[in-house]
Amino acid sequence: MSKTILITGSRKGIGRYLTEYYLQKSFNVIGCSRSSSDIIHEKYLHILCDVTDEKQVVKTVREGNKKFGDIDILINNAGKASLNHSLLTPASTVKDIFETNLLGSFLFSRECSKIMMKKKWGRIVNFSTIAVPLSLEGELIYASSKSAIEKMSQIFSKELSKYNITVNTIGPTPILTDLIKVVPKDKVDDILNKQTLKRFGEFSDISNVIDFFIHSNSSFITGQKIYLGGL
Amino acid sequence: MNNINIQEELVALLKQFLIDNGIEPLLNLNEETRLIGSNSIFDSMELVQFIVEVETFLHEKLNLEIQLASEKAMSRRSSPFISIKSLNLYINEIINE
Repeated sequence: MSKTILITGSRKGIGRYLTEYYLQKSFNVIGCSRSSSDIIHEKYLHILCDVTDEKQVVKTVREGNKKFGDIDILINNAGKASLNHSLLTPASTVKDIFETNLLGSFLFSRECSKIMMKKKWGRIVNFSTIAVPLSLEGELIYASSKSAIEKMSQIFSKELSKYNITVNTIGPTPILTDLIKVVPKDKVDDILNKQTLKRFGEFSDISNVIDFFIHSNSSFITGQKIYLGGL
Repeated sequence: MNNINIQEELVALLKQFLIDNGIEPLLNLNEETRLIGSNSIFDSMELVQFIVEVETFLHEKLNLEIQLASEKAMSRRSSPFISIKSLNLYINEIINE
């Protein structure tokens, strides 16, 4: 029977790639974003959802579970970036970034775990960034929110271990998506130079790590983080 | 919304939960049975799991969208999760808000 995977922020960028990638691999995919998706596939369900809204998250998880009868894997991809000097960062940005990145990932992890714990099997993959180990200037809020996600993943992995739910984190390098387009070129070059492997990441670099985390043989891999690019 | 009395259903749910999880059900399992504390039938993780079961039951059987583990519940001096009786009262309190 096909496994069911829930991917947040599935309308564009990495989320869209992962949605199409796992549909190709015959997974049932539940995708969500604040606006509608043009992906049409018999194994795809798109749900409109603001990941920062607790009620909408609960409803999304229940609706997805009802449609496919299960949720085996969660990929907390939805995220927002903010690049600004700390002294010029308004409180509203801090709140917005933390709500989308940390709160959104938390709410989906919590709700999907409730389904996974009943059958004592599940995989959760969260998104961090190489901006965390590099402590990049101008990314205080974004990197801090992702650092919080890493800590959340580690503690979740302990709390959910009894139910054979693994929780791991991937930290991508810059990839050419909408998120990175707002970063000045010299800044991106500077980041690439700090990586051991000095190139942009590819979508396939991400799916490769996620494939490893969600594989049935990876039941002994939890609370881990993998940064791309050799950090 | 009027009050609902689901104590019997919750006791039945509790009994089934104990069986499903290999926990020996008490002979005199009732609405006063302790769910938390030193005399409880659960460890802390089993209580979490049972609360999730109750939320699912409320949603699937009664079409009620209730988050039982709220800030309000956690900050009380007397926990609503002490027994089925207190849980029933708490559920009614939420649906009548």
